[in-house]
Order: sequence, then C-alpha cells, then structure tokens
Amino acid sequence: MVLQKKKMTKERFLKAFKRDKYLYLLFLPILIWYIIFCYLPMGGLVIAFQEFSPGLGLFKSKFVGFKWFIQFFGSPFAYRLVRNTVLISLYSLVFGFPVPILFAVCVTELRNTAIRKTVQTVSYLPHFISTVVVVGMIKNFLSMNDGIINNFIALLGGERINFLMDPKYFRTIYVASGVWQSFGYSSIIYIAAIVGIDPSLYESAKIDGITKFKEVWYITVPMIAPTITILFIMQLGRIMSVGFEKVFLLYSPGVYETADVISTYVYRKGIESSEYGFSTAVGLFNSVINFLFVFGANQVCHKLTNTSLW
Amino acid sequence: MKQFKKLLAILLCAVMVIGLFAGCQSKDKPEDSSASSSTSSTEKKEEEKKEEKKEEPKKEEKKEEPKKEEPKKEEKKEEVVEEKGITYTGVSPVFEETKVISWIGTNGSSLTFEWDKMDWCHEICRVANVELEMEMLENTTYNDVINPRLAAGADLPDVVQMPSKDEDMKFIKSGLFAELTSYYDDYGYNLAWRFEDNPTVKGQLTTPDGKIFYVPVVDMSTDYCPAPLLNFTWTSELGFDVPKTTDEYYELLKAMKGADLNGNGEDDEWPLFLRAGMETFMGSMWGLDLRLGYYNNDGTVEASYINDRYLDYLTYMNKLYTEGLLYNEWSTSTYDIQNKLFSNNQVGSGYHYTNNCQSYCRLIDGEWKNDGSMPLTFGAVEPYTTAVWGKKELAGLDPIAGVFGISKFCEKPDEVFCFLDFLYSEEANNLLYYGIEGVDYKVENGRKILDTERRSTNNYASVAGNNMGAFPRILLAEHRDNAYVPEIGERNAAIRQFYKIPIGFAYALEDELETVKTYATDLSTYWGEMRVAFITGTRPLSEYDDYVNTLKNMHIDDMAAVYQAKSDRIG
Repeated sequence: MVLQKKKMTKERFLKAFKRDKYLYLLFLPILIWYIIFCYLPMGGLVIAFQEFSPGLGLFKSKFVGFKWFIQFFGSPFAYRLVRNTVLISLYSLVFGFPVPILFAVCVTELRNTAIRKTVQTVSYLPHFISTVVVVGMIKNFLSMNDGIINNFIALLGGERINFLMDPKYFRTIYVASGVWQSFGYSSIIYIAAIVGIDPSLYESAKIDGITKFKEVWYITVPMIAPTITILFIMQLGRIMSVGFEKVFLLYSPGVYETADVISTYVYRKGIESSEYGFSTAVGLFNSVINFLFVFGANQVCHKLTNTSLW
Repeated sequence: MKQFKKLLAILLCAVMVIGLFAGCQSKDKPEDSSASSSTSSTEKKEEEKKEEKKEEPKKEEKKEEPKKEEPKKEEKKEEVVEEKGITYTGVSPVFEETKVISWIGTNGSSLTFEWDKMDWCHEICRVANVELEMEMLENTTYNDVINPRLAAGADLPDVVQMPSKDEDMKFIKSGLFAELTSYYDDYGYNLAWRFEDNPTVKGQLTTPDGKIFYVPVVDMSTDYCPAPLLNFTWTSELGFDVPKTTDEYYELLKAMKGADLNGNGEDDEWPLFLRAGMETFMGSMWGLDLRLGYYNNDGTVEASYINDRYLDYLTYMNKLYTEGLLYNEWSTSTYDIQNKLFSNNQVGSGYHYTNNCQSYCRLIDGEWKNDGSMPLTFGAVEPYTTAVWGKKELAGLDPIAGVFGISKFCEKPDEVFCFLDFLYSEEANNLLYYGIEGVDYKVENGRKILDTERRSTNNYASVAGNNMGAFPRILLAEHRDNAYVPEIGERNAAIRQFYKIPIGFAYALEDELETVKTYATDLSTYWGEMRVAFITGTRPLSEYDDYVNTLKNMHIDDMAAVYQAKSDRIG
C-alpha cells in the first residue's frame, strides 16, 4: 500500500516535471545563482568559530568555539552598537515606511497626467544618486559655515548649529535623508498596486456618495494591504542591517555615541585589523536576529491579516 | 510552430545559463580592472634594451666591484652561483636573461598611479634586466583589494606590498609568504650595508624566533614629519614674532581672529586650521603621543590618554575651539575644504607635514613658484613649549614605513629577492630619487645638479616615479631635500633636532597580541570620540576623571605594559 502510494507520488512528480520542464529550465539559472552565491558561502560561517588563517584555510584553522561572540558581547560598546543599529533601523522604518504609501495614494489621485509624471520622476531621482554623492550633499547642506540650513537659521537670527559633530543630530540626519532618497522609488510598487484596483469599486462608492478620504481609507488601503504587509515583513528582515556605506561616510569620532553601528564597528575591528573570525561571528549574530524578526513578523501577520510570506 | 517555440525556449535557457557564467574568469587570463593598470613594465622598451645591452661593457666592470659588500659575501656568492646559477652581486644587471616578476602595489607617496609613465622605475627594471608585470592600484582602494586576496590566500603575484606591517604576524603565520632569512644572508648585499647604517631596522624586522619574512621600506627622513606651520605674511603684518610658547601662540591666534588679514572685508579667517585627526599631532608639545596612544618618556611607557598633561592639552584645545580660533568643523573637514580655505587665504596656522607647505604656498598665491625664487609664505617653525612639559618636541616616524613579501606562489623567491635587494643599491636609489643621469640631472665635482625647471613642471618627478611607493626602498632626508624648494629643506634642518621617534615597530609576542586584539579597537574608539567631545565641549572637562576611570576599566594599563615590553625589546 505504502509502496504503491510512493510510486504514485513519484509518477505524479515526474509527470508534472515533464509537463513544466521548460519552466524548470528557466528556473535553473536562478537556482544555480542562489546555490553558488548564497548557500555555498554559508560554509564560511565556520570562520565565526575559528582563529582563521588565510594560509591554513577553513579546514586547518584553529577552532576557538564562541571566543569571538564572547569578545563582542564583552565589549563595552556591545549594548551601544546594538542600540544604535536597532534605533536607526526602527526610526527609518517608522518614518520611512508610511511615506511611500502616502505618496503613492496622493500621486494616483492627481488627475493632470503631466504633473503626475513630473512629480513621480522628480521623486525617483534621489534613488539613483550614489551614497557618496548623497553624503557629500548632506555635508554641504549642513555645513556650519556656509551650509544652506545654517545660513537660513542665521538669517532668522538663530545660532549656527554644528550638525555633523554633535551626536544628538545624527539619527535625524540619517533618517530624514534616507526618507528623501527612497520614498519616490519605494512608492512604485504601491502605485502599481493602486492602479490594479478594480475601478468599479470606486464607481459604486461614488454612487453611494462616499467622500475622497473615505474612498482612500475604505477602498485603496484595504486593497493594497497585502502589498503593505509583505513589504513590511521584508523591511523587518533588515532591521539589523543598517546601510554601512552611509553611516561610514557620514560619521566621525565625535558622533560615535549615536552613529556607531555594528557594521562600522566590525569594519574597524574586523576588517582593518584582519580579524576575520570576529567579523564573521558578528555577521552571523546579525543574520540570526534578522531571521528571527522576519520569522516573528511573518507569524504575526499571518495570524492578524492572513497574508504572509509563507 | 510548436517545435519552433520549443527550440526557442531551449535556446533562451541556454543563453541565460551561459550568461550566468560569463562573469566567471579563467585564472590564466589577465585581470582587467578599471582601478588598476596591469601592464608589462618594459614591453615598449624591449628593443631599446636589447640594443643597449650590447653596448654596455661598463656594467660588466661594475659587476666586478660591488659597492660595499663584505668579502665573506663574495665567497658565499660563488658557492651560490654553482648551486643555483644566480649571478647577482649587488649591482646591475641582476639577471643575465630578462626575468619576469609579477607585482602588486600602490603608490601612496605621490598619489600617481600610472605605471606606464614611470620612466625612472622602468629604467631601474631595464638596468636590472627585469620585466615587471605590475598591478598598480589606487591608494584609497588598495587595502580593500589586497585584504580579501590575502584572506582568500589566492591570486597573489610574486611580490606583494603588504597592507600593514603585519605586526601581529598574521600573514607570516598563515604561510602565505616565503621566509627570507637565508636570502638576506646569501643575497642581501645592499640591504646588509643599509642595515649597518641603520642598526635598529633589522632587529625590528626579525620575528621573536629569529626569522625574517619581509623586505622593508625604510624612511630615515623623519624630520619631514608634522610640525607647527605658520602664515608668515599674517604674523609679520600683525607685528608678532614667531611664538616660542603655546601661550604666545594663543595670543597670536587671538590677534589673527577678525583682523581681516586677507583683506576681503569679511570676518572669515581661521587662525588655526586642522583636518580630522591632525589635532593628535599637536600632542607632542605636551609630551604625548596621541596617534599611537602610548609615549616612551625616557624608558617608561605612559598611556598618553590618561596622563595629567592630556588634561592640560584638552583645556587648551577647548579654549581654542570655544573662542573660534580653531576651525569649527575640523573633525569632519576634508581635503576639499582645506584647499578652499587655503585658496581664499583664510588660514593663519596649522600643524602638518612640513613639506606640504610648498602646496599651501601655491594655493595661497597662484603666482608662487617652487623654484626657490620666492620665499615661503606658509612654513614650519620650532615647536611651542608648554608649561607642563617644557621640552621642545616633535613626533617623528618609525623608520620602518612598510613591508613587502614574496608570496608562496613565487617559483623562484631567491631570484626575486635579488631584485628587491637591488632596489636598495645606490644605482637604483639614484634612479628612484634623482632620475636618469644626463636627462634629469648631471654630476659636477661629485655633486648631482638637478634640472629643477624640468622637475617643477607638471608634477614631472612624481609622474616619472620619484620615491615610488610600490617599491621597497630607503628614503633619506637628502632625497626629500631635493624634492622641495631649498627653504623647506632649511626649515627642516632647523627643527630636525626636535624630532623624537615614537615607540617603534616590533612584532608582538603571543600573549601581547591577545591583549592588543582584545582591547585596542575599543580603547581607540573611546578615546577618539572623547577627544572630540572634550574639545568641542559636548562633554564637559569636569567629566575627565570619569573618563580616565573608564579607560582604566577598559585595560589601558595592560596595553601600556605591552608597549613597554616592546619598547624594552627594541632597546
């Protein structure tokens, strides 16, 4: 009986495989890419438990157990690093996540096509500027001596502020510039979702005499809720991965208090001093926390909205 | 139709799979990187070389009389010739037949990276009979490129310019580099006499178990290190003499503030301009080493960042910052800002490498010429004394400025070592610092007369490979003297006596290494951020005692003990 069942399953699989063979063939390059670039390198995680030496390689380097993890959590900066990393991500999420949704709703409500397209194009542009240039612009705008912001403050009779050397401004600068850079591009997916909503829903609502705000609240938002949920879960998966480049280019010792995140610390300690084991250990810790966030958010969303990644 | 669709689908899949692997490269193919210029050094001069080789019996004569080698070495050499066929005796040509050597490095000394144009270096290769396959990378990206390659332990050429001095012996222990101890004995003709002239160097390069793995860059031009710099025009306009003490310096800075010395009608002068990190240089006037963090005070190593004198330094710097005398964005300022301020003649003083004054003068006045016909308007002065330290002192540099290794992939490390040794010869040195005789200089009464006009045009010497950073070499003060206007050399000579070499490079022992690995990054992170916080006043100086206690809890004393031990070992 069991054998027969197994045989049937195998036959069904072979039949399905034969039917969709070209689809599988199309999928093959992606699969190979993931195996080569995402799964095979995972073998390197063993470095997190080794005193890695390039000449000795993965198999002969000395095993040191949890030494690097202990060293990281024993560091006087461990708490500060985790706090800064989480806070910067959290603020980016809280302030950065709703903006593209609001923007998408507003843009789709614009009736004049020329204005709509211009607004969209202008909002996408910052996404295509490299981080180095964005940071250069931020530094110029916020310069204490001739930056436009400080010139404006001085014009109003205020005292010039040393934004880039005072730790209390770093997170605001990072998050605000991040929102400016990404909201336009991130809104594309929401605009696509809104455009895909059945127009008959809006028409029938209009017949019922619904206001514009209620139309958005009761039709647009619920219809794009699955997209919002999926993107939210994926955003949570990056909560411990603050963009290294931007922090690295923007920070200086004077603002370490609020700006030093796990990746910049790992760069200073791990890469500059060639402590590969240490940097792999912290990277592994980061990934595990990210995975837990994704997993937790997925479960919660699945229970609350019945929409989830898996 | 259906079959055509099938065929098309198969073809598309095949194209995608091939496309996926298109980026993968065969190991044998040469790399093509936009950031690097990987070329054969002497290809275009190949024919010239052959012709000249025929008409150069002089070189043979030279070969007979090596410059300073000991007789013992001659005997050794003969044995070696028999065994290995190496004919090198310390002079050119290093090889009878052209030898190809692969190489990776960067040119941090002049920031020019076009290997093809470095005629002086190509000339060295020509006389040595070497063809260099040079992979020259930009200085800013070098570590990012070489570190992963060293970590992977693959794709390394014969000679590697190391990203650090390998103080923790990480790469030595990894077995990626050939041990050179016996080569130093057998073929180190030039290195031997250079080391005799600078006796600490060989000891510093030797590991605790008595082996040598690297060929160094030796920099004996320590007097071109950071010193106080002053705008002489402004100082004399204000009727001030060159300050002798930090108090007099403070008075001068105050006088500069708001005096509209650049005459543009605006209050835009900065009496003291520093870039991020330059404030650490000034520590030497308080008897502190704020770069390393540890200072050898007559045999006793002190942790500079918890020393009482450091509080005095912070108080002084905080005063300069709060009174608007120190450039208010120094901690985030860049080269662009520096150039802008100098170009607008907004800077009254600084603290930096003394040879930079040549470019500062040119920025201040576009008409200024570096041929010696115009005096320096911005130059180095003697260090100011402080009440708490009292001595005139400037921080010099460790003589070992970098190291080169011969990788384990090199098939003939002994032959490659011969070329590295040749780079230390007088012949190679003359080419590297003075250029080609008859073209770049002539010799009159035993003295080299440089073609200064040629050297001062379009960055000629740097482009030609003067003091090329990707070569192991010995840099002497006289080499720098020739590269700059005479007044810079004179000013250096005047302050030379004040330079003090800090705790030098030495390999760490196993337990010392563990201490450094565990505590060094955290300590430098903390003292770095607190230094800026105390100077800008975001943290009040009343918190200094708490700060000292925190550093002690972070094991700063253990680190000082490590440097004490190292210092004792170097002697």
